[in-house]
This record gives sequence, C-alpha cells and structure tokens, in this order.
Amino acid sequence: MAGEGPRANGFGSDNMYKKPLAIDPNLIRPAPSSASPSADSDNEHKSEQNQPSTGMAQPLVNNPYEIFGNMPLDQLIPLILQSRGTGTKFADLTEESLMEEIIKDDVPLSQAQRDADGDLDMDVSQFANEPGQQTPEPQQIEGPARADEDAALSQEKFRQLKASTVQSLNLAVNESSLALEFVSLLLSSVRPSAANASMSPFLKKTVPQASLNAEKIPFQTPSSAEVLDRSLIAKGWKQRSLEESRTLLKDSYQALEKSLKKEHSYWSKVSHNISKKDVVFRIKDRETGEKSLGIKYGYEDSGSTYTQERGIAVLKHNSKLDRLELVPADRQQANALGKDNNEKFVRVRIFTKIEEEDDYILTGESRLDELLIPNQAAGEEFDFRRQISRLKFFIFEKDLMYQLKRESENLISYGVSIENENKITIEFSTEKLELETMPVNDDVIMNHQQDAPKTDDRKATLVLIMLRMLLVVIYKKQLRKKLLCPQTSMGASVKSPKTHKAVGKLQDNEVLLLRPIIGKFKHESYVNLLKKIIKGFVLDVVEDSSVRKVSGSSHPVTIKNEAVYDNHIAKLDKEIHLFDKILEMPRSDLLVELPKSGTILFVLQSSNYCNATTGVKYTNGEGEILFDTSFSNFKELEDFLHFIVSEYVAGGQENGVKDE
Amino acid sequence: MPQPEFIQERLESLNAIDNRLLSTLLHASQAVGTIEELKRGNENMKPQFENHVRSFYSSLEEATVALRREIRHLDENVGTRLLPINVNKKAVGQDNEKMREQFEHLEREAS
Repeated sequence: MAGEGPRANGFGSDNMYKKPLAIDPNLIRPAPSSASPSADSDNEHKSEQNQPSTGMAQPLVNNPYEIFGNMPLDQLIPLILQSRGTGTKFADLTEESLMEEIIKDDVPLSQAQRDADGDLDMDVSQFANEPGQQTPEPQQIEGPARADEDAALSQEKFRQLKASTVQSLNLAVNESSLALEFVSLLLSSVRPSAANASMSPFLKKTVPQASLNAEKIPFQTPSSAEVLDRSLIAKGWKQRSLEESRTLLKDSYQALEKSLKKEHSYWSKVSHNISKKDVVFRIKDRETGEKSLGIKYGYEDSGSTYTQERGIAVLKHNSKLDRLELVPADRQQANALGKDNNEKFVRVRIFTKIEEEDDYILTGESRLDELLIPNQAAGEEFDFRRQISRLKFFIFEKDLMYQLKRESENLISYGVSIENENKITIEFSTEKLELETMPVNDDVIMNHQQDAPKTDDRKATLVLIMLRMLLVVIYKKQLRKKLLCPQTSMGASVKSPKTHKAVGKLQDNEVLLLRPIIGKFKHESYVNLLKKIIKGFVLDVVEDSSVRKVSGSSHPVTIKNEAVYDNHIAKLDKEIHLFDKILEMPRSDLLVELPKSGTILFVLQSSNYCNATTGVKYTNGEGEILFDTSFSNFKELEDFLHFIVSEYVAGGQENGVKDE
Repeated sequence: MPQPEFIQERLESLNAIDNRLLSTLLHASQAVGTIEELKRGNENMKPQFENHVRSFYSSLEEATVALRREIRHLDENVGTRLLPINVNKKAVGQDNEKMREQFEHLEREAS
C-alpha cells in the first residue's frame, strides 16, 4: 500500500504502454479510493511519509493485475477462460463481442479515468484498440475463486500497511500539534490573544501563559581570520608542549650524564683502591640518606671485643677533590655531638727517678708510628690505603687503651694507677711508666720530632710494641674460644664484659697486657733484692759459698691435647703458644751452694706476675731436705735465712755471724 | 691493589650500560625535537625522525640485553667468585696483619 502512490503514478505514465492496463480498471478503482479518497497531491504527500517505513511496493508486485501482464499466454488464456465462466472458448472471443462488452462497461471505466490522470484516458482508448481479450476481465475478477487467494493475501497486507500508516499519521499529528503548542506558547508572551486561540486546553491548564520566552540571537559565523587564529593557537600549544618535553628530556639527560660521570669515576676508584681483603658492604649513609658502600676496619671479626666504636666507615666520593674518602660511621655522630678529633694513639713514656730530689725526669718516649706523620708525597692510591690503615690503627689504639684501663683497675696495689681517662701510670722503684692516649695534632707530632733522642726511647717503644702484640694474642684467644664453643661466646659477646668475666674464670678471658710487662720489671728488681739478701745473709757469712742461677725445673706447659682441633684452631693455638714464653709467670731459681753443709735453693716466682713469693729449700750435706717453705715477705725471708745459717751451717762460722 | 680483571670488566660493561640508557634519553629528546620540526611543516625531517626513533629503540634494546647478560654473570658467579648476597664478609685476618706489622717494628728496633 505504501508504494501505491508512485506505482499509481508510474502506472499512469510509463508502464501503461507495456502493460495491458485495461485489463482491470476495477482493480485500480478500489485501491486509490480506499487509500486516499482525497486529492492527488494529498496522496503523494502520504506516500512520501510512508515510504521510509514500509520499504518497497510489495503489495503491487502481488497485484494480480501485474501478474497478468507478465504472464505467458499459455497461462493467461486459461485464466481468461476461467474468468469468463465455464464453457466459454477462447476461440469464441471476438473483437466485436469484446467491444460490445467494453461499451457496456463504459460508464464505470470513465469513472476510473477521472480518478487518474488524463493520460489514462488516452491509454484506455489506445488499449481499447488493442486485442481486447483482457478487457472483460475486471467484471469477473471478484467473482472467481482464483482471484480470491491473491485478494485475501493482499488484504492482509493491506490491513497491516493501513495500520502502520495510521500510526505514522497519528505520530505526525501529534508532533505537529506539539510544535503548534510550542509556537503558541512562545507567542503567548507577545500576542496573548492569538496564542490563546491555538493553545490546547491541557497546555493552558498546566503551563502559565507567557512563561516561555525567546530571544533572537544572531549567529556569528567566525571570520576566516578568527578560524585561522584559533587553529594557530592550538598548534602553538602543541608545539610548545613538544618543545618543553624535548628540553625536559634533554635537561635530564645532561644532569644524568654528569652524575654518571661521577658514578663511573667513583667505581673506577673503588675498583682500583679496594682489594679483595677489604670488607665492603652496602650501607646507608646517615648524613645524606643515600645508599653507599661501607668498609669495615674494626677488629671485631678478628677477635676484638671492643664495642665502643663500630669500626665501620662510609666510602664517600669527594667530588671536589675527586678522590675517595672514608668517613667512620661513628665520627659522623661524634661530630654531631660536638666531639672532635677521634684520632688518638697510645704513647709510652718512661721517667727515671732522681735519687736526690725525689723527682722524675723523662728519659724515654715511644716512637711515633709512620701513619701519624703526615705524608704529602704519597699518591692517591696510597693515600686511600693510608686512610684505611690510619682508621685501623686508631681503633686498635683505642681498643688497647680500653683494655689497659680494664686491667689496671685491679692493679692499684702494685703501683698502677689510672690518673685520668687517658692516662695510666705505673710506678716502679726507680722509674715510672706512663701510658697515655694522645690526640693526634700537629703540636704533639712536631714536639716529638724535635725532641732529642733519649736513653730509654727504645725501651718505651719496645714496651708499646709488646703491649700491641699482647693485645693481638688476646684477640687470638678470643677467636679460639669462639671457634671452640660458639654458643657460649655468642651469648657472651652480647653480655657486657663484666658479666662475661664473672661467668667464666677462664684464663682466656683475662686481659694480659700490663702484667707480663710489669711482672718482668718487678721480677728483675725482686731478683736483685733476693740476691742482695742472699749476699748479706749467706754469702758474706758462710765462707766459700757461692750462688748461681739454675734453670728452673722445666715449666709445666700444659698443652691441652684436644684431638678435635680443626685447622684454624690448631693454627691459632700455635700462634698463641708462641707467646707462652712471654706470658708465663716469671720465675728464677737461685742455688746457693754451701761447702760441706748442703745447698739452699731459692725459687722466686709470682702468682699474679706482680707479687713475689720465695720458696726456700734447704738440703743439708747428707741430702736430707730439712726445710721447704716459702715466703711472700722479704723481711721474714731474711730472718729465716739468718736462722738456717746460724743453726745448721757449720758451727765454725757462728763466730763470724756473731761478729756481724 | 686493584680488583681482578674480571671485576674490572664487569664494572666497565655496567658503565657501558649506563651510558646506553643515558643515550636513550638523548635519542628520545632528539625524536621529540624532530617531531616538533615535522609539525612545523618541515617535511625533510622525516628520515631524521625515523633515525632517532630507531636509535632510541636500538639503544634501549642493547641496554636491556647487556643488563640481562650482566645479571647472568652475577648469577653464575655467586658461590664461586662471589659470596652469596646474604652472607656477610668478615674482616678476618686483621689480627695477623697487626701482628706482622708489630714484628716489623720490633725487628727495626732490635736491629
């Protein structure tokens, strides 16, 4: 139905010539009449509206009329015969009879012609001249059963199409009325009366009049200059952001290049200056918060128990001087606390007593380590190694002083006193030893260099060297202990030194620095004293008596034979035993031989290095041991000697004693 | 006392990787620069832009490949040349060092 308009038109114009239009004027009639009883223009309008919704002209394709037109004759003829009623023969159809029929139907045909164009009229007349076999059909078309099927089908479609048309129409009406409402509402502010007339009652009720207004705004088409401007600006923005991102990239490239250069030189320096032996690890620089490398210079892993300094330094690159620097982690904190100069070394000085004045005179001073003397000539690599060595040196010196002070605490009765934080003095009968930590500064070094060599310089230096060696021995003992019983040492290292000492009375834990040295000094003086006593009480009294030093019965060196030693422990043992000689308690055996009256054996030894006990063993001429005793007091020894000599040694000499 | 050759080599190749990564940045900035020129209508820059982009990618690729190789080196050498990362190196032997040093002093004093 939708395509009917155009079809109908086409019908009127081109198709008419080819198709036997006249075949069914009756069919044409009902179609337009039902669809559009109104004028042609109206019809066209509607068809335009409907076309998009219903697509192609389906119904007309099924129009029996058109089918007839395309039918081959062998089909068409039976149809015609059918439509003319049974019994008719095609041969009976003549032009004359057909003409008669047409004339009979003239009236309805002309009506149909009026509906269509004028052309139709002509066509019909033209067709009328043509073989009239088709003309009679229209009349019967409704009647026969054959046409019924097609007609029913088309009617169904027709109804559908009609419904959709109605729907579309309603829509159009609705929309147009809405538009009308809108316009009248808009108009109501200007011409209320005119608007009122066209407004619907609903609108009047719900929307107050003159509530809609409009203003005419002229649309300004942007000028070409403006368009150009805008596009230029947009382009400019883009350009600029590109430019900026380029410079940003370039800047960061340059900045990174610089820092990379620094980094590379840092690493090359590190690789050149640091050997496999150095312990390097990652550390966070507390000052700058940067990740950095640290170096361990403390003796912690080599047996030291010194915990007051961590022994860790941050490896820094000094970009100004282009060299590596070591900054001890503790020094950073110390600097923050305002403490300066952490570099201290131990100096040993020897003072000799001036008999007459009861005063001391400086007679010896230990030598300065080369590390303390500034060395400008050294190259960079050497400089860095030197920094490490200095750090190691200083922490060792601090450890040494710390241990010395610990040891000194218990030695007050033997002339050892801690004068202050940095100084320990040890008094002997004729001289005084001063152990002092000195801050490294130019004055100390200059003074030392300018001082003339003194008689006891060497002795002082040797004392210092011995102290250092003994500290290393302590380290080694500590290491050995850790290896032997890792659990206890682990626990012990966490505890403070004091509890540590209380827990294990092992000899390994003892600090043995001063005592071996003091012991040696003291022993020497004890021996001298003993000799003096012997001389005074025996030799001078008994004729022909003599004293000689005998090697004491081989000192029982207790080598613990633990078979489970591993290599490291065995090595440590070996190293430690090297120092047994130095660490053993001093002992001197003096044998006095008395002619005819046997011998007296003096054994001078010490239980703690510093004190002295003298064992006296008197054997008479018959080989009997008459006395075997010991004294810790020389006065008592003198009395005892006097007693022995006067009582047992040949009575002949008694007179001599009495003479004394 | 420089590090062994192998370590030096690794450091150098790491430096090279650094440089390569750095050059990607340069190429990126050049590429952006040429694209800017292109936008300005300078059609002649097209091949240049292509070149820059290509070198950007190639340097990036080279860096990643080299880095992967270094990581492989690291993996291979842990346990042979290097200590495992979670094992701390101990500063052992410093006692012997000190002892030797003191013996030297002693020798000098005694001579």
